[in-house]
Amino acid sequence: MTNAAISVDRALKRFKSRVIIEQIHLTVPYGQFCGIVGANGSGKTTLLRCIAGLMIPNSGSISVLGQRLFPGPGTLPEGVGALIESPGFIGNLSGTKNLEFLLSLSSKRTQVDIASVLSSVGLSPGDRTKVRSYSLGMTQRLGIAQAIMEGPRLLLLDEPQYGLDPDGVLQIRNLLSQLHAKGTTIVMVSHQIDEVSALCDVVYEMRGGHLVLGGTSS
Amino acid sequence: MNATLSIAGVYLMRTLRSWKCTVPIGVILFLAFVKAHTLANLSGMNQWDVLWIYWNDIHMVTLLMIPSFLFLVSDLHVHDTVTGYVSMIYPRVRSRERLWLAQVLALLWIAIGYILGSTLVIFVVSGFFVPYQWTWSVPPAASQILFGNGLGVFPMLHSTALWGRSPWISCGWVWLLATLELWSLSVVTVTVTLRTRHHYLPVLLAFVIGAIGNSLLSEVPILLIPTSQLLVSYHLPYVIGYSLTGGFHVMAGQTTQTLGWSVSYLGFLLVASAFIGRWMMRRGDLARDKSQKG
Repeated sequence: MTNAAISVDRALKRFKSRVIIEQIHLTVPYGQFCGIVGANGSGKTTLLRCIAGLMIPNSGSISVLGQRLFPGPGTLPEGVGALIESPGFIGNLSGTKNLEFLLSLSSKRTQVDIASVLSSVGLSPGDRTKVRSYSLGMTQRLGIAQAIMEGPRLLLLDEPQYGLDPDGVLQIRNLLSQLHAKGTTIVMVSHQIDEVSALCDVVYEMRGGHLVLGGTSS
Repeated sequence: MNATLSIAGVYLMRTLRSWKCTVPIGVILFLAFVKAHTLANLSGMNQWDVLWIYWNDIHMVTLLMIPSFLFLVSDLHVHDTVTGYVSMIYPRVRSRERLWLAQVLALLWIAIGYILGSTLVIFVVSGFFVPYQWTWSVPPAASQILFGNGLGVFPMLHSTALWGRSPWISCGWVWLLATLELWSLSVVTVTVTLRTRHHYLPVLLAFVIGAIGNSLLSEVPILLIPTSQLLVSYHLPYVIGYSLTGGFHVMAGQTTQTLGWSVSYLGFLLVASAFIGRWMMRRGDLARDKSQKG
């Protein structure tokens, strides 16, 4: 049991002989907006996948919201929202239908106003366009919508600005700031240092699979 | 349990909405047409005969129908991990066991839907060629020879003596076996995709290796349709069973033994693969990194 929202200790992940991340120590207190920057292939997404329970580290331990993920069965606690890389929705359903489907999977039955969630990310609630016809930016907005719609305590975001136009970047930036102000713990992975610096309380850098403290915005 | 049922429902929904779902339906349609058209030239045939022969034809089921079904299943599974769909599901399902249970359950639903859908298609298509009839009749000897494929399929056509006169009982057994077969094989296939880290190539290689193994074991000539090969090996008990019943007169004991053996085998396959799959799910990654090699 730990007081941190995320606690990673000596995590190592390799694919065959290739080490992707190693000796990762990361502690994210509740309510913190944590940014992780780094070049392509530096291991940012792999680290986020491990924290989201999708990938199992070869060694080390990971706890999320006070619950041990690894070593262990990788069972996530309630209250985690995630957007890991590009979201893969059901192409022949509308955005609203996709969100309804995902909502039906939650063990915690919450009343979610899908229309207001869609509006908050800049999508039209009444739009019946199938997701396969969405632009990259629209898909990304929908991905953010599904991550935030149940009011998660912990939000894991991998390149949330990917594919967004300047207005969209600004809109999502404001949205994340609001969520942060409400106390949501956020971990955002990006290669856009400016964006991360503008939003995050603390910034880490991934370099060759190692995590280095890059500084705090304050 | 609600979440498990929900995710199983989503998987089912996703399968039905996949364009690849139309391929197996096309196969069913084509085969139903061929069978019904051929049978129409014989006297005394009806829809039940078409249905019975359709499901009993080992080559037809293994080489065309089951591979198309399994391709759909494995593609869905691979696709989910590559597209990131599972990364959206997992924070909601939260448990690997629950995710696996939901997938196994979804596979059962898909298998049942596949069998019922196929049956409907067979009935509708055959209706154009043979008369609708709600009674069961033993097909004439001519048709038995026509549809015998060297593995002893045709003796099963005489099984009315064993199963009773109702076509519902006779075809019910076929439906049950076919559903169990599709379910167990699909669970095996998804388990293989888990082991192979959600890549297609190793799954195909497994099919080919399975084919060679099967050919050696059962002395069935090597059939060079890659995707079906692993599946043929799973039919080994059927092959043995049919061979045991050889001749035109089925011995009740032998056929019962065949049925029992098939159900036991498929049941064992299902339970074993479900447990192995669960074990792999607990140990394996749910996402695939672009840099990972299969």
